[in-house]
Amino acid sequence: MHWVCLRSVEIPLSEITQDFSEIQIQLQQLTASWRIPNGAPVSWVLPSDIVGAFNFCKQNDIATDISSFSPFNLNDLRVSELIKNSAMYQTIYWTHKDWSNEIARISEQLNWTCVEFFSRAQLFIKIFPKQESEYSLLLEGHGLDVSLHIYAFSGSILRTTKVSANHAPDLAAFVKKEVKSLPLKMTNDFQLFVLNVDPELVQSLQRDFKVEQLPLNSSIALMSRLLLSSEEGIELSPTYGSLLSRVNAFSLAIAIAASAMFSIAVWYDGVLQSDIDLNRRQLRKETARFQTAKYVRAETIKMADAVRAKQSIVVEPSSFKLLAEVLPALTVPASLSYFDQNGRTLKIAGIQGESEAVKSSMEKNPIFLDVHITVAPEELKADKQVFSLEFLWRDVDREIHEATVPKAMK
Amino acid sequence: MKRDLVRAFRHHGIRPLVIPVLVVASILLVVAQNIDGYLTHQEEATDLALRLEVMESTFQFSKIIEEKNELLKPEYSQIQARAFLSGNAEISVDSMQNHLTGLLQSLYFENIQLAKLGPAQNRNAAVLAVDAKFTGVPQQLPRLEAALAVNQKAMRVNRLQIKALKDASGGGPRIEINARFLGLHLVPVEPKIVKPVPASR
Repeated sequence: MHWVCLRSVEIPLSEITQDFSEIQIQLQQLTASWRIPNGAPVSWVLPSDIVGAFNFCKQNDIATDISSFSPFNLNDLRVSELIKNSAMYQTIYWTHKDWSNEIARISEQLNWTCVEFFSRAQLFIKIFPKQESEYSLLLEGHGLDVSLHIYAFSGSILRTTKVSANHAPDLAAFVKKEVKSLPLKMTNDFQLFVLNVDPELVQSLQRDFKVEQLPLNSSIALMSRLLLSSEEGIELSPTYGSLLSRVNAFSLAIAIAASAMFSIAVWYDGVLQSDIDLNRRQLRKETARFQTAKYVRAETIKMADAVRAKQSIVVEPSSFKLLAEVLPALTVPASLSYFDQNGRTLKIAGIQGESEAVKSSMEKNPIFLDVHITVAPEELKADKQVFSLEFLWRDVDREIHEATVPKAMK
Repeated sequence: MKRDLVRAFRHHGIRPLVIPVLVVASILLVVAQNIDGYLTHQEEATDLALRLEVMESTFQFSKIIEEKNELLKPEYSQIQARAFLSGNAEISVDSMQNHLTGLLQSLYFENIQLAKLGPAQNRNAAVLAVDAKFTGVPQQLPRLEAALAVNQKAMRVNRLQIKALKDASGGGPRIEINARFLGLHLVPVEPKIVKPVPASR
């Protein structure tokens, strides 16, 4: 799920007041112009003078009541949820019921569902640069107001408080006092950060502390990060019930979809099985015919291969036939001493004959072409009246074969 | 969302996950129990459909093939009768060499040397080639030609070289013959055996 900020606005109030009527009027206009639906869940991020925080561990503070951390009676407070049986320190947020009732009233009049209060200090959790110090202190300015937030190394909030106008001139002394007043055993191993604080005040702090300016994040980014985190504030109206309903509805939907798919699969499996039975019967019925057809096909291929192979031999020259054609061309007393037929080329040589006479005799046979006289073989050179010829022969059988046999039979 | 999950878990533990886990587990169980059978049926149905398709296409051409078969049978019978028959062309070429040696010896040719040409192709039908070198007298050549024409196995000479030899003994003329003999190798057609199809797979 991806959340995006659709709209935002910063509304300056005319003066610092504890009267929320101006805020209500401004929000009324926004609800109308932004068309915020009735019952929209709304979380409030409130300053340190409305939502306070302290660090608490049930086992370590077994004899201590939560109310001892605040100036008010526990019955007058709204407190964030205490995780029972936890040995870890946890940050407890609290607000006076007067505040919570007032904000709840405004929310109701705006037709919003007020779900949670967050402390403004929670906006800055875990945004500090990497550091070795055990604690981080943040002085955050907002207009004329300055707040001090103290964080443990783990990111939990130890304290959040507003710097009163009286303390502003000697801010360093105020910081030291706040650090000392922490109930935990606090060392001087801390890093002081400032954000949006008047430069003159920062200069005064630098005389006593090493001060680091915190990079400025947009308030929208800080708000979005807090809303999407698992950080908890003071819960007024639980929202996880809808999550459980969604999980159950989603499970039901998956179960229904899976059942439907399973039913389809079962039906289709039945179709497949009847197809299998039908096809098996068909195969059994046709097997003998199929095997006969296969046998005939294989036999025909073999026979065709045999005929083709025989044809390839038949079209080869018959050497004895060529010898029989050559011999009549020799006239007495010429005799043949050498005969060589290789493909379409013929070479002959002999004795007691004139080359020209034998050549002209050969040329009379139309199957002999390109008859010409060549050098006699070495073994005949010593003899008298040697003739030696080379010529080609026309493959009449092949020509007849190619002219008569249809292409399909080749 | 994260915050809601943390709170739901804190207040209800893993109970909210029971229904989704049960649903997923049931789905997995049902799928695991049925998927093998389903896939087997699907595979078998595809296989059978394919076999039927092959069968149909075979039947489609069987009539034409039978006609060709009938057409080729007489010629094939003649060819088969005079071919070298064996399951392997190497065996056929050895048989041809033996046969040729016997033939040349029966015609009183001398100094017979034979060499087969390269590896014989091992197919249903192949042309075998053997080079032969032998000596004799010119009068033996027509007898060789006549013997080849009526020989039990069909062989043909497609390359021939004849040289007259000088005879120091003063006898009749002698010749040296180099000839290439061609023969035909056939793998015999196996007898038809119809295999029964199993009643079920």
